[in-house]
Amino acid sequence: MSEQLTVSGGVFMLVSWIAILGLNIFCFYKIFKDKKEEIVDPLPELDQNT
Amino acid sequence: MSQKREVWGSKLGVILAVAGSAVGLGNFLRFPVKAAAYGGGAFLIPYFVAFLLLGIPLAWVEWTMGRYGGRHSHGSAPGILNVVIRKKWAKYVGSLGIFGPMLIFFFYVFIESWLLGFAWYFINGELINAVKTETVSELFNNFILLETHIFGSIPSALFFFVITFFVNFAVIWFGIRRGIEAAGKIVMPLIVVLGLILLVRVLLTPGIGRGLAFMWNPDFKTLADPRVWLEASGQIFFTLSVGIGAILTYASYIRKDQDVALSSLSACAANEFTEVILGGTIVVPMAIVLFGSSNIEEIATMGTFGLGFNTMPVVFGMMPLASMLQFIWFILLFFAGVTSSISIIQPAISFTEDELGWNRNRSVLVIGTISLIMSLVGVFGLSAGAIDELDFWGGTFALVLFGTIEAILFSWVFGIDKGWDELNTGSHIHLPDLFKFVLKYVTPVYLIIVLFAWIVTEGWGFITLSGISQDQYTEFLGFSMKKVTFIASFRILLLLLLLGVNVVIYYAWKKNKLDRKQEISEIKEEAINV
Repeated sequence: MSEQLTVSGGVFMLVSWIAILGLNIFCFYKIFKDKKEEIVDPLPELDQNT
Repeated sequence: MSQKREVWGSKLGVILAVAGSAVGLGNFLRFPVKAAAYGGGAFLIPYFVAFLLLGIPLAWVEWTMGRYGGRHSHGSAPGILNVVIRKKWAKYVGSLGIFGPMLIFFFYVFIESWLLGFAWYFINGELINAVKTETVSELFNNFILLETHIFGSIPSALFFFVITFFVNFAVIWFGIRRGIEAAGKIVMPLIVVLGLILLVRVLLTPGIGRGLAFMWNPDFKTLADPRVWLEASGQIFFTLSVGIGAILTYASYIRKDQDVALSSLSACAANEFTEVILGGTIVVPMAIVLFGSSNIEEIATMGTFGLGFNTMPVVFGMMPLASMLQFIWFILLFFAGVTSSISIIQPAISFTEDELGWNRNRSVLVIGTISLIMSLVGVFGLSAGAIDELDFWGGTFALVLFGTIEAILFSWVFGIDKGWDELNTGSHIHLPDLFKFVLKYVTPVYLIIVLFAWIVTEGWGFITLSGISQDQYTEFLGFSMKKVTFIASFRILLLLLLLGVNVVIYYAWKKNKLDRKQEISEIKEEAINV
């Protein structure tokens, strides 16, 4: 195996990074777009006995 | 049965909690070691194939079944499978979804505490001294074998274990929203920020091209080796926390009409970011740059813990701002560990709350006591092989088996049409119909192949203790005994625990017989209306 990063190695790294970043951008863009769904109801009282 | 259940405060909250459950030591240590050992960049081909055909579909299955169970006030595998499958035996199959994660918790918290211990060694300067005197391995070995002490005669590892244990149960005690969701919202962004600091530092290191070459240059010949495909599938399984039962439980706390398809995909995506981008760039490339590629084999054979605890302190110790980087490294992994461990004990907590009707105080006290006792067996039985046993039965066998069962039950017993509709209810993304085919045929077959291949290649040898000779002795709590005797006794203890879980399930269902009958008739009525 080559001691330095080869073209194919660079391509593998770049394509993997782009695919993962792309998936994250796609998902979290959609999540943040729907702000109205963020809060469901007020935080319940901290009562461990109920 | 408890009818009033908590729900997550926000969609982002549950996504970060599930991502926090998935992001752990495996992302930063296991993945780069596997990738470097099995073909570099070429490993990413089977890895992404498994991500698409096994990881994402199985995560969808768990999110969907979890939400369905939560709608009927069930938050753990026995109750969820009971309402999904509606067969008497289903709840007993679900015992794997409590038993498996409990076994993982018994040893995971101990490993997590090593990270806290090493962060402490940074603060008191011992780690830097060990790097200078080249005694990091010695420090690590003495630490985990309880041979280093703190505050006089208290074994350091035991001290940090107790702290870590109570941190975990404190988060659990605060509940879903105040505890787990709050922890995820703080810790996950922190992991990304700390990881990015290390990533930038690594990429600015002179000669990093050599390290990246070792990690990413593809060796296509390895793709012909079935073991590479098996390892890639295994990595996807472990990294996404599927098959454990934790996602089932977390998903049971979302609202009945809330999206699961996008949320599940987002949690998987966040996990992949920390694994491939952060994990794949930080550890192995830096180790290669500083130790040279002539030591590749030695580095690879050090495995996850060797790399994490022995190599990385030395790697960061040789860089400017050494102590700061060492601290960031261990705290980063500690936080990642905590968000994972709280998720793996939550199924047991949810079971006692939902099926036995216990309040949280009682659940935390009882599950905490059982966990503490069993974890201490792991702590004192480390050298005897207790943790290896827990890792095998809980962290590998139960996990792959339960994942396979879930995939089959979802598509073939619950029914793929019903399952697909359930998955798409409230969905914020349109799922291609191709995935319906994948869920029905590809994922179950893929999992069956992985399960059998793993048993043949690794599992059988471990089960039959083929690597342990009859005259090998070990010590446990000061008693000397044959190692096979210790392991056989420990296996009996685990078997009794599994039996105990099933007895409690039987008792819970017997106790609430009328409620269950009413519940099943409601589900049937609901199905007729649909």
